[in-house]
Amino acid sequence: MIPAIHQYARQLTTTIGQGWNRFWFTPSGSARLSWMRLFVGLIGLYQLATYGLDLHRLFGVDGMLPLDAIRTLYGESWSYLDYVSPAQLTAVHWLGMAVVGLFTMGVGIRWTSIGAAVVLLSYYHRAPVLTGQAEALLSMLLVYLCVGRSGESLSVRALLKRRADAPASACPPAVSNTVALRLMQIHLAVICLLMGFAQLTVDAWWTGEAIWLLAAQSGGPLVDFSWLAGHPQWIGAWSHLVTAYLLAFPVLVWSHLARPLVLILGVVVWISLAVVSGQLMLCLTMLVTLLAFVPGEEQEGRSKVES
Amino acid sequence: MIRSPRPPEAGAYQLLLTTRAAGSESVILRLPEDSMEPRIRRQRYQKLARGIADLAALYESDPHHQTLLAVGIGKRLLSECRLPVGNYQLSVQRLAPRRLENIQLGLAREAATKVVGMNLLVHSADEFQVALQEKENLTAMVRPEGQQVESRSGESQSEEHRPAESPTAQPDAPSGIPLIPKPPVPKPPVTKPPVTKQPVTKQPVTKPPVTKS
Repeated sequence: MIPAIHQYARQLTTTIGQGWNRFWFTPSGSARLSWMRLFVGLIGLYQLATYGLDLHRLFGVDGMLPLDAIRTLYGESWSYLDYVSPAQLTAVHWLGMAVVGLFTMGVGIRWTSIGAAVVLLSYYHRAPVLTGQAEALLSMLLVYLCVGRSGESLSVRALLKRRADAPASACPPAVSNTVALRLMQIHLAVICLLMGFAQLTVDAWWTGEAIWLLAAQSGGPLVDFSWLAGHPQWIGAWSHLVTAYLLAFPVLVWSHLARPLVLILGVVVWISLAVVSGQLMLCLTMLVTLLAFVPGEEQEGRSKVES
Repeated sequence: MIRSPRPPEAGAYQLLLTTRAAGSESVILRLPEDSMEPRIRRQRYQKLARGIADLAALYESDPHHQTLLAVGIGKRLLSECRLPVGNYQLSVQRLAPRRLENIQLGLAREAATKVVGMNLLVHSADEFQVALQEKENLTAMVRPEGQQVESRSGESQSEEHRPAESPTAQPDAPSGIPLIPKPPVPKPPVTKPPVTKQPVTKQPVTKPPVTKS
């Protein structure tokens, strides 16, 4: 009896250990991370460029958001903008844009990824009242992109390598890529679950009216959805589809069989939400985060490890 | 006495800087402006306005924290507009989408054919107001107007169940219960004109002569 238990315990721990190692430490390629770095960089650049239109009004010492008021109301958070004088603000802003631009192009990615995270987080921390879900998602992506090798392709470095006819083996699958992707995947699954739970606490999502409330918001939707008022069944179905998707995502996305369907449905859900709500940043960032689940080169890496 | 505001709800929020002169209220600045581009900028100012409303609800028993951010915004806007010393008020207005269950389908279709774009959809509005007393000495008081303003369709939106009315009716003026009574406007000391006491001179009583008959 005891040997059987011992054998079972050994088999259990071995299986769990192998699963753990396969999940976290199977080397994977950098293509997905590179695409994500490119899109995250472009979104970050766009955010910074639009911050620049109200730079002194929002971030200046004598701006709309006094530093002491922000720190009193929203807690202590570090931001290099706290130490910048009004005369330096424009120059520092352009410097930050340059760092994020280099990150987008994949130049010196080990340092520019950290720099881009510091730059954008500084803006978010300086003006937390202006941030929303999109900024939270973007922060997560920026931090995790520091972990992986996101500059291996779609970058200036890759372009230079291609011109020099470097061998393809110069960019081998790496464990750090897998760790970064897994962290993003888990984070996204938890975010979707919490968004789904949050919707369950709102009556409008239960009654199916929520999509109408988004569509009827002043200046919100990208196109006129007033005709939807005559089709409450469609509105209800749309609302419930969004909630069901968010609740099902963290369960189904881990199944290799269901994952393609979940991803396709995710594209439909987030594009439709972008059109109806006008929250382009959030929906774009969600679509970029979904790239973490797109099947990539980890299969190849796994076969190499097993062989 | 501080009264509890209703928590902010869904809708598009905007900041209004108004002044009251000669009994009339006029809007000096509206943020975000409708023409503000790109969209992300408009959404940022909407978040800012929503943040003010959130703080008004969060710090309902703490007027200092309630108005801390609003005062900063007010200071900046007043200096941007280079306004003279006067009475100004910063308001947060919520343009809430009309509830679906209250829409008569016929009315909705009629409205849909009349409006161009979603900006003219029927709305209600809450207001959270911050009175900026004097430009040089900003003291803010939050005054959320707990009521809802009229929609463009003219339907009263005070509660969930409201009857459908004419879509051409004009919005009502906002009215509501202040969260904090607006601070009394300091009145100049009333100076009575000096009363100059004039010496009372007793008039000699002259008795009429008694004529004996």
